[in-house]
Amino acid sequence: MTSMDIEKIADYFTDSLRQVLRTMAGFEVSNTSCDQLDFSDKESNIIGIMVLHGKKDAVISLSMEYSTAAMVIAYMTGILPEELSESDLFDGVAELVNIMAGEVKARLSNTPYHFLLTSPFSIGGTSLKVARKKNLTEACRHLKAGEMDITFRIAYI
Amino acid sequence: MDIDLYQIFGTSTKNIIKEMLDLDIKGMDSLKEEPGEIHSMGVSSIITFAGTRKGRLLIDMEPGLALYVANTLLGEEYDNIKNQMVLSTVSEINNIVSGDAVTQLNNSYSMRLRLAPPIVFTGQDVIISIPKISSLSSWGDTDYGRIRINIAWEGGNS
Amino acid sequence: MIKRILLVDDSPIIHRLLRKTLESNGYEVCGDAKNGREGVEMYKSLKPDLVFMDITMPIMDGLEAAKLIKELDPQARIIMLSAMGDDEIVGQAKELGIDIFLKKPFDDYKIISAISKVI
Repeated sequence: MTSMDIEKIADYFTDSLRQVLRTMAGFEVSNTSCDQLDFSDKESNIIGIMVLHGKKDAVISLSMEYSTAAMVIAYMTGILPEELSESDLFDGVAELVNIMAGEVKARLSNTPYHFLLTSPFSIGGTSLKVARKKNLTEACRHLKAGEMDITFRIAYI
Repeated sequence: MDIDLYQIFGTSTKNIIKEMLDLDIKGMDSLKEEPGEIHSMGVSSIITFAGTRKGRLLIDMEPGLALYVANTLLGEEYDNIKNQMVLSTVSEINNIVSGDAVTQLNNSYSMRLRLAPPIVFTGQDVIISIPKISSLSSWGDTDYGRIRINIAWEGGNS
Repeated sequence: MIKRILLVDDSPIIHRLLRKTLESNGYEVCGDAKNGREGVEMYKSLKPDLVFMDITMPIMDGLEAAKLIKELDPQARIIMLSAMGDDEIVGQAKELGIDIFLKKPFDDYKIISAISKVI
């Protein structure tokens, strides 16, 4: 796994997510690289996570504030943000991860990076801290539309 | 076989905690279905495994127990569960417990399971939501706080 | 002469625990590698008497690293120390000529008696 490979794979995931957001929520989001701070253990509100089992295992995640999750899920479902429960947000963010990963799985199926999906899960809370191992091969992207900011991360472990 | 797929994790948790920390876990004898959302007690670690089936183990500890585990194993006096070494220790315990249980499942049922490295997290009022998959939990008590394990296998609980 | 031991594991906790056990029993930890690739490089430069090697690690796993070390030095002494220890993994390790396979968790006795069988 070279750094070029992982950047390319990160682009597959973010392309897939942009497509999902465009099709299902009507959002056009920009895709920018992360700064160094984003690789540290930054605290967030809600994180959707999936472990990918392959020749090398990987973890992908989408992190965002509750307000962003509410906006995205509201546009996806047609339900007003204030009518969405916390449970709806967790389900929605996990589903975003699931759809994104499903599409990339097909794209990588005949490459050395093919993987098996696992059940996505979401974690939420205040001052949430997720710890990962150090020295991983990883990549990070911001997907932005207005004040919405979704951070995508992938780490091969 | 099916109930073994769950109970074996409780047995491994008790045995590993006893062996590494000389700490008894009381309870952890029964399994109860969890709703979709799990409220973390303090520090939670999730590990997934895949082979002929896919599953995961969540280990959840109250802060006092997480600190006791890290301080006893490392001979330190950490007082904050957000400390990287405290989180890493809980993560390593999950790795060892899962490794022990999965080894037995592989040898007994040829499941060819392999572990992915664990993820560990903490925060205030943390909720873990795992849609699409039902799970069973078991609780135990120690002198330093409660511990819960939650096990899920894709394809249902039966 | 003090025996020099290289530790290869991605867990900082395991490094701490092993170092405590080894140093209190008169061994020198000559290197701490966090993945298999680092382990192979450090083996070349440090020429340790023994390697403790985990299996599941980022960048390069322990079985691959052990294979490369054995190719470089067929006399290399390696103890595998892994959370997993099913028959298939133990079989793979044996095929590579691994001296001893230990399953985590471990205590001082398990570590020291394994070392005494190898060096």
